[in-house]
Formats: sequence, C-alpha cells, structure tokens
Amino acid sequence: MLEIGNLNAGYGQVEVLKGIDLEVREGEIVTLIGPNGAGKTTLLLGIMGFLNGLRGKILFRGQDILHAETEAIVGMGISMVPEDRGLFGPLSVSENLMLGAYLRLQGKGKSKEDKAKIQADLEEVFNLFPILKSRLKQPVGTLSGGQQQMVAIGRAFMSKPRLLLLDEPSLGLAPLVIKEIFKAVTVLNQNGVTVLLVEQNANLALKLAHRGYVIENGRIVLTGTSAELLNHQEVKQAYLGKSHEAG
Amino acid sequence: MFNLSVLLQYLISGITQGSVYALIGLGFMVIYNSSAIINFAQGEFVMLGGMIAVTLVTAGTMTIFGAGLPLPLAIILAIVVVTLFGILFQHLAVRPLKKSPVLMVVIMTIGASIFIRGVAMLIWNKDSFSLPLFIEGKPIPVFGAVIVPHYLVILGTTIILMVLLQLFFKLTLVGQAMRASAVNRKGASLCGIRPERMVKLSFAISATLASIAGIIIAPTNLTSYDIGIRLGLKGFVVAVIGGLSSFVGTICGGFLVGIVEAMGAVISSQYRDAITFIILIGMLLIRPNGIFGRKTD
Repeated sequence: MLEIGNLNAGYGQVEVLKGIDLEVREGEIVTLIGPNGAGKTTLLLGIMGFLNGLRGKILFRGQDILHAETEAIVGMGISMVPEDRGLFGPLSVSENLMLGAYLRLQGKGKSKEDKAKIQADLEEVFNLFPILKSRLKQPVGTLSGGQQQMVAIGRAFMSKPRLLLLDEPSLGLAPLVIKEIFKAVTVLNQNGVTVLLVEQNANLALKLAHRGYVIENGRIVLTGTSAELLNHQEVKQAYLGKSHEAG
Repeated sequence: MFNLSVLLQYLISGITQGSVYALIGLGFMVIYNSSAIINFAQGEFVMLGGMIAVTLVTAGTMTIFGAGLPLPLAIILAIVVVTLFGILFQHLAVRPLKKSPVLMVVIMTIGASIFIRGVAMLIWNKDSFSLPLFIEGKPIPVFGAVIVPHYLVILGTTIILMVLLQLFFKLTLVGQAMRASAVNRKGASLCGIRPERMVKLSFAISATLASIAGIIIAPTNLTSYDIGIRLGLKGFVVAVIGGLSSFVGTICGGFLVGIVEAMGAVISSQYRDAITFIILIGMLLIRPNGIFGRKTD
C-alpha cells in the first residue's frame, strides 16, 4: 500500500532522512521505532506532504505522492495523528470529530447515503471510545491527555483512511490509557485500516505491530517481523531495556 | 442645561454609529483570528464601499465615472467589488509576506491604507458625497427625540449581519473549518482543509462587512476619500475592546464606543475623537486583552 524508496529529506544543510526504504502492506500494522531525533516524525511529515526538499520515491497504492499537497493526500486516504495531536482546542469534541469528515461532507457528501455513512462512522468512534459520547459539547482543550488522543484518533478515522499514521500515541499517557488506545488501534486494523505506528515505547509497539523497522540517525538499520525484533539482541539492549520509558 | 430628550437624541445617534463600529470591528477580528495580523487597511475597505456605491449611483458629470445605476444594483456591485478587492489584497500584499514577522505585515497594511487613500484622492478628489436615503419617511418621535428611518436601516442591517456571521461560524461547515484553521493550521490540513483558502475567505468576509458598513452610513454621514482613517481606527478600538477574539465583546465594544463618543460630543464636539482614543489607551493600560479577551496574546 505504501512504498517508500530511497527517501532523503533535510532541513537546510542537515540531512534528516538518508536513503529510507520502507514498505507497508495492506492490512498490516507496521511500527517504526528508534531513539529521539532519529527522523521518525520527519518521515511521517514527509509522507503527509508537509516537507519541502524531499527526494526519492513515495508511492501510495501505486500513486506518486512525493510532491502532493497535504489536503490531497488526505483525500487519497491517508490520515495522520501528529505527536501534538493537532486538535482544535476551543472547538467541541463533536466539532473536531466532524471536521475529520470535512472532505466527505463537501461535494458529494450531500446525499442521504453519504450522511448516513458518516453518522455510522461517528458511532464507530463512540464504540471505540465510549467516554467521548459524554463529552461531545466540551471544548477539546479541556479534556485529559488520553481523551484528547482518543479524539485525535477518532478525527483521523472520520476521513475514512485506508492508511493511518500515528506519531507517538503513547506519549505522556498512563499505562491503562495506552492500553485502551492500542486496543482501539487493533480494532481499527481488524476493520480494515492499515497502520504505520511511530513509537518510542518499542515494547508496546512491537507487541501491537506485525512488522517493524528500526531507524537510527535517519537510516533504517533493521527490519523484521515483530517477533524477530523482540528477540533481536541489539533491539533488546537498546530499546527494550527494563522499564526504561523515554520521555 | 441638558434635558433628557437631547441626551436621548445623542444616545440614539451613538447606538446607531456604535453598531457600525461593531461591524468594522468584527472585520478586524475575523482577519486577526484567521491570520494573526491586524489589517489596518480595513478602514479603506469601508471607505471604498461607500465611495464606489456613490460612483455607481451618480449620473452625469459629478464624478469621472458617473454611471447612474439604480441604488440596489449599485450597492450590490460595490459590495462585490470591494470583496473581490479584499481577496486580491490578501493574495498580492499579504500572502507574499507569509514568512515575515507579523509586525512587518501590519506595517505593510498601514502603507497599503495610505496608498489606497492616495488613489482614492486622485479619483474622487477631496469632495464629500452621500448616498440617497434607502427609505423615505418622517422621523419617528421617541420620548422627545426622533429616530430617522434610515437609522433603523443601519441598525437592522448591522444586527442581521452579526447574527448571520455568528450562525456562519457556529453552524456551517466552512465556518467551522475557518475557526479550525485559525486555531491550528496543521490540524486543519490534516482534515483536508486548505488554510490558504480559509485565510482568503476571512479577507473576503471582512471586506464584505467593511463595504456594507461604508454603504449604510453614506446616506446619513458624508463619505469622502479619507473617512477610512477615523472609521478604521475606531473599528480597531472596538476590536481591541473585544479582545480581538470575542464576538459579543466586539459588539459591546462597538456600542460602548458609539455611546461614549456621542456623550463626548455632548461635552465637546471637537474633542469627541480624542475622548474615544483616550479610552483605548486607558483600556490597553488596564486590560491589554480587552474587556472580553482571552488570556492568550
């Protein structure tokens, strides 16, 4: 579904991504792990069209999106939940969620069928995160970190993505909340959403994902199934150390 | 010395003027919310609204382009022209400065307002004009004062526009998308919203509000090439009272400035403007975020 070939990216003089080769196949959950500053977020931003000066190949379902605009990429079926969640603080939970369906509500989203589908997707979000139902009118900025993450994921889901990019969803969240969120991601995946997950918490990420890539200093240094990576000597030493939670 | 009906007369005038100030202030607020800049050319959009309408309505040799269109058509055309001009202004003057510090953009708008004023002076000289009253009728007596029917047109128009604006931002998808884009551009992009388009839309809305303000006051106030300075500044004062963020605050600010100004005229018509600006300075000293503003800068 997503093919990245020899991707290079830089901010000014600094090369942040060097020759990245990465693949996400339909139906998978793929995780990208690595230390701070390795380029994980940069890669996601690059896929979503936020970066200039990208060189290489990014194909989504066969289409070249290397130079595509962010809004067009969203329209093609990729959604991202950024590290800071990118929510609209003063707007309510329901407004945030509905804006996720912005492209669907425009243009051909006017028919009764489409509106019903959007409503059904909203119900799906509430199935995943029941607590949001009781917070519909609240400004999103007043919610707890975990609930905000739920809204962010829910909003991304509302654009009916085929591929969902998640940037460090566990950041700053309590273990129980992380569990709930990761469970929701599993359900989404089972319902047909392919996932590319960037995580610092390698343990959780590898338990959730089918396959993984390890990135260090802008390069992919290792790849394999999550079982392989969980048992890999260097991965264990560097990223799966006893209760070393970064951040 | 003062009797109640004189006071009431000033009050009526003040409320009516105030509603127009509120409209202009809302124009400042909409642009500020979507792009974090103060568009000091806003006053010129107000001026252009009235002046273009006058030009379109006037037949004969009074102006260079006397066209003699019926009033409703002239009004609609003037609004459309100024709105398009607002979009053009954003595209040509504001957008290229995207990466510049905000202060530079603000200074640019001040320069633009001087430029627009200069061009207006070349076209229309320093003459004063007015539009015909929208509705004829005898002044309505109210407790010893009178309400000119056109004042009701002004108040009615401004109130309807304010309501429509609120409904637009709260209930329509585009309105919510604009609010979203103003709060978080990246988040908006991730929803498929184009922030650039939303900014252009905000300029269009502000220009529409401004031109309507300029048109509805043209019958009862004289319009000329330089009315934009005063109206723009007063609109800015009003927007500041509303903290550049509160819809209700801006409206209250409008009526506040209008009434205070009218009362100031009771005291001294020469110092009327000075009184208004002293209030602004006082406000910024006491509550830099405006009476209704939020805590953020």
